[in-house]
Amino acid sequence: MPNNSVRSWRGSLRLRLFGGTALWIALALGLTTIALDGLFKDQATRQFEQQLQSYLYQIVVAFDVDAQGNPLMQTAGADPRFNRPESGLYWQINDQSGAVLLKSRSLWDTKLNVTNDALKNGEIHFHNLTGPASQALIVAEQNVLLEGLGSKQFRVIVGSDTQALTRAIQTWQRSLWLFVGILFLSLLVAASAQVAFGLLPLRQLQRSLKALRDGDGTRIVGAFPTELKPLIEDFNAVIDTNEKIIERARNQAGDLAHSIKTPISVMSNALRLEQARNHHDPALVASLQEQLQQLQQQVQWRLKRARIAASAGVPHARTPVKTTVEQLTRVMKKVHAEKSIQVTVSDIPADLDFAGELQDLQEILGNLLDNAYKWAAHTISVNSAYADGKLRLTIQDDGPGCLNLTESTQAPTRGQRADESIPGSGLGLSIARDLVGLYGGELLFQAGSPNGLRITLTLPGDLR
Amino acid sequence: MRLLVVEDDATLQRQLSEALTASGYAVDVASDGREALYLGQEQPYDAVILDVGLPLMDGISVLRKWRAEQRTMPVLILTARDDWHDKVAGIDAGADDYVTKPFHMQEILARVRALIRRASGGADSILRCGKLELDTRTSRASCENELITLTSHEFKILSYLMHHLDEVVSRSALTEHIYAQDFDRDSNTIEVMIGRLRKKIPDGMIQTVRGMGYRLAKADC
Repeated sequence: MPNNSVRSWRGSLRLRLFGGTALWIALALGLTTIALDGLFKDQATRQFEQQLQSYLYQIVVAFDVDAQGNPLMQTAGADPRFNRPESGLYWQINDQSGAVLLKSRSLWDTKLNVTNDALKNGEIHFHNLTGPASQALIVAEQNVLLEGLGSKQFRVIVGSDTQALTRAIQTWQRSLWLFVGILFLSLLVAASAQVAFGLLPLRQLQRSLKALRDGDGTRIVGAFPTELKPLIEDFNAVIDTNEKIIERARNQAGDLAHSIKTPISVMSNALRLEQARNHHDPALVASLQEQLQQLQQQVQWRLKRARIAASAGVPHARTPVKTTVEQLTRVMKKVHAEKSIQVTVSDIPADLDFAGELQDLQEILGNLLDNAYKWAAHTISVNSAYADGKLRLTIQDDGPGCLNLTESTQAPTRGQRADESIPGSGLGLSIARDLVGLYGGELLFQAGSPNGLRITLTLPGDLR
Repeated sequence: MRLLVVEDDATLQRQLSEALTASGYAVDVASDGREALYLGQEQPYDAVILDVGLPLMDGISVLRKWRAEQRTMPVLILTARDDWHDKVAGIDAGADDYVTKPFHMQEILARVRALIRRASGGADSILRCGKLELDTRTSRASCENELITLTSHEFKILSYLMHHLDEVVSRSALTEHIYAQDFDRDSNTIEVMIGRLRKKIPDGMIQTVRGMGYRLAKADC
């Protein structure tokens, strides 16, 4: 599981960008919160101590000794809390030995237990202390000398309950966490929106690629950000090059065909003329004819192979089935005009596509239809069906049916003709089968009913 | 019947031309696309044998131009490329049939005969007019099953008239369809040959339409 999550994190740009941003926001906001909290506590405590200090000054000013030299407090302190027991605000005066001389009424029967540590004259000291009723106090203390009493020192102590301070700090912290939380969430939302917006062109690219795969267009088009442009240009260049290579291979096969087949024609015609003459060498003519025949078969076979090799299966190609079948039946009607065969093509949906190239579908269907035309007595019917990304075409003729075809599901092997009584090189069906195989399709030969041959062709298809 | 053979390979062109001439056709030849285009535009051919791979202008383009200019003569395409894609392109450009190289000369002859016959509306390889029969495959004419001996020019005239039954054929049309382009034409020879032909076939079959030409009439056959 952890392995999976790591992989998904690594595998997703969105998670990378969003995770990184979120982590950084959390870190920055956490540090800011700690700093703000510390600053506030510091400030609040200093204010509290200043308040305490001013109480201390009031007490120091009000502290005096009477004529007998006994210490006395002239006023009990301005704040009424000094007089209310356990009010949270206290003062106390100790002598040098630490004994309590005077204390506020609010201390009632308790006292402030301060350690009798050494203080420099005039220095104010702050302590934390537990006061009456377990109150948490901060105390300020200062040593004072009174006029006329020589070097006799008194320690004036003022203490105040920190409850208000703690409450203020808690309130501040609650508000701080609330606002930082809101800020964190809104920044997360903003970051997520930004990531989504930033990745939008990638999504568009994804859609373009899908469209390309589905056959809607032959290149990636659209306005993309500068960062993606080189990638898209390279991609389009690869597509173009691929198509050019295929085109070139086809053209080369065609040119080669032209440059070899014309001389073969010339030679075979010359031989036939020679044969018609009286004084020819029959053995030589026969041998040359045989060699020429072999050469012709080899050339035809190699060129067909080259043609198949050039059909690399361009992924985005789509070919409408209806128009291709119509084109081919038009060709067949002209080429086999002597046979006056009735062709019935059932309603092929106009939006039915073959997921492959036009040349390949023409080659497959052309060979199968040509075969049907050669054998049919009167009629040929072509039917189509589509289901689950598969295109199915059946071609049925009413000819004699070819026995060695009907007995197996395989077309005759290469070079071996199904029947020698009908002209043709015997290559057509083999080429059709190879191309069908290349597209992962299926070619099924069955005896038709009541007679004839029924060819079922299954190919990858698409219904627009 | 006058044919145009367009083929850039000189030997193949000669072989085609000889075989077709031997079968009783008047044959013109062209070796490149431009020459073919010009001849097809200017001359009234009864059929054209057109190679696809030609210098200067390819065969398919030549054919498209002819068809765009309403030149409707039947065209047989000769192609070395036997992909169905190329065949579809040829037929869609306006070809009536195709033969892939290498081919048997007999196949070319049979296809040319069929094209010419289909163009004149006939389905049978034997043309008939009453007792008179003309077998396009064997190039023989007979009357009541008796073979008629014809010279090559006489046969050409009879064949053309039988392909255009009931039509008035002018002397100049006969000249154009019977002689190849470079033949030294003399319209008087047509008259002489019609005269000889009339003696060999039943009387009154070839009518003279005054000032217009000749007609082989169905009704009178």
